[in-house]
Amino acid sequence: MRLLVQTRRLLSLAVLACGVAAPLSAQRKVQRRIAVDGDASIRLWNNFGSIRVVGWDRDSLVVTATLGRAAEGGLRFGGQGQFAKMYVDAPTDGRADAAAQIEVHVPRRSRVWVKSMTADIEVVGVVGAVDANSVSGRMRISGALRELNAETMDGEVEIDGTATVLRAKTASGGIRLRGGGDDVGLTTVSGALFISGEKFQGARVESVTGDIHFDGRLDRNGSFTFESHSGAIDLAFPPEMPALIEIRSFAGEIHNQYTKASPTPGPTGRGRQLTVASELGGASVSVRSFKGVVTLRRR
Amino acid sequence: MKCRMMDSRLDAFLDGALPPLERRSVEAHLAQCARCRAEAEGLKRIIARARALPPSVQPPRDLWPAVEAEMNRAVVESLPLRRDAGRFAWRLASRPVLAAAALLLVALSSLVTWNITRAGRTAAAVASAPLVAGAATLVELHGIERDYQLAAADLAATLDARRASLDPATVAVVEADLRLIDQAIREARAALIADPANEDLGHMLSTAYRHKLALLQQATRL
Repeated sequence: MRLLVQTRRLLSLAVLACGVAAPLSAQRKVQRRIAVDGDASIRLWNNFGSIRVVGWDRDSLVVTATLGRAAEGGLRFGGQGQFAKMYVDAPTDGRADAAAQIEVHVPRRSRVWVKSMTADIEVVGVVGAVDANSVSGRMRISGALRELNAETMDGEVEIDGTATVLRAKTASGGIRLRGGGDDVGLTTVSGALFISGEKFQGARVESVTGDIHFDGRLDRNGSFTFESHSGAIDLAFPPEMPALIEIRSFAGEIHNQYTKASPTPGPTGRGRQLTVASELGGASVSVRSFKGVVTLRRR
Repeated sequence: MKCRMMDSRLDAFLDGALPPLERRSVEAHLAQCARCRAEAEGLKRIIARARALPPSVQPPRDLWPAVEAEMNRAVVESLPLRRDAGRFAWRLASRPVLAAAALLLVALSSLVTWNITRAGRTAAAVASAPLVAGAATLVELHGIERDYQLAAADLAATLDARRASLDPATVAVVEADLRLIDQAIREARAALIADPANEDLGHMLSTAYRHKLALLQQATRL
């Protein structure tokens, strides 16, 4: 009898403890499914927390969300078929419990537009188009996409894979691309750019003060531009890569560790320039710097 | 070369600013692609018309008041919005502004590139008379910068109007990067004045302007 009483007391305490603790860590899990076309346009918006987009082989959109207390009831959906949207309507006053962890499965071939303020964005397995925007969230995008546009102010952008047309732009966030693309454009003001891969057919890479590092192979018919005002530009190419490489710097040094050629004075007598041309032509590479150091080296 | 790679190269090709290999691959593509050929012809006509303009090119006056009015309207409309709703509502109110600014950015970018390249050529052509070349470049540079500064100032004013609704950390990032770009503009500008025949410097100054307008645009879209 005494054992039964003690057990009841313990159970009551446990229930009471759960009742007290629940509001403190309240997180509501929601799942919702929407039928969409295989190439649907899908808009997703979650300001705080994280949003993970997964491409799959079904014609449906499935959202699994874990919502913070302040975001409860803020999950909104719309559309079906060719267009669908999901967003989290949560306060933007910096409350920690306004965060939501969202995972969205979308058809692989869909066009996805995803936006956040500080929420991290991850996209995997989509082969259609992705347009990702964040103020300061980190972005990780992987796969072989048709189009990719990633834009953030000071979040980091990490891309693993390829896109036929690829654009990434930051203000101060770094960009890391491992893979390639037919038409690649990477721009930053002060972030660092790290680019590597074997599948580049054309690229324009620009910074104001951010350093640019490229380690990869260029398509022999491609055209490539690397430009920075004061960031260092470090380019590593395979030996004997067919290319015409033209480097011009107004006030920065040019270090050539790729061939034996030495830089010469610029066309107007100021600055330095260096041209490296293989006998059989090849990729056209233009490098411009105002005062950053340019280094050309072998991989 | 493929059609989608032509977009970013046609301007430079028509300005004669492409490296030899790239120029040849653009020529080869144009020889076999009617669509790109037609686009190149269209651009040629636009450039020819632009060259017929006075040396100090100003944005069309019938366009600018509309852009300005839209910007002012957007700022006025954004003021009464609730703080928590401001971010989204402002975006809606400012779409025409952003469209107009984007149009202006494209126009300015082309104008700056074309004008500065032309300034470089003018200077090169009169290299034996550096004072004259320098003066011509300065006059044209002044005209270009006035137009650019108008666009940048209005975007900055729009951004300022929203400052209270933006995260202070984000504002700090934007301001720090704007300072870096302004420094780059000052340096490239001073170098171009000292070395007006250097087309690379003209290109770099144009790029720095483009970075500034693009960053302001990006910030006003937040």
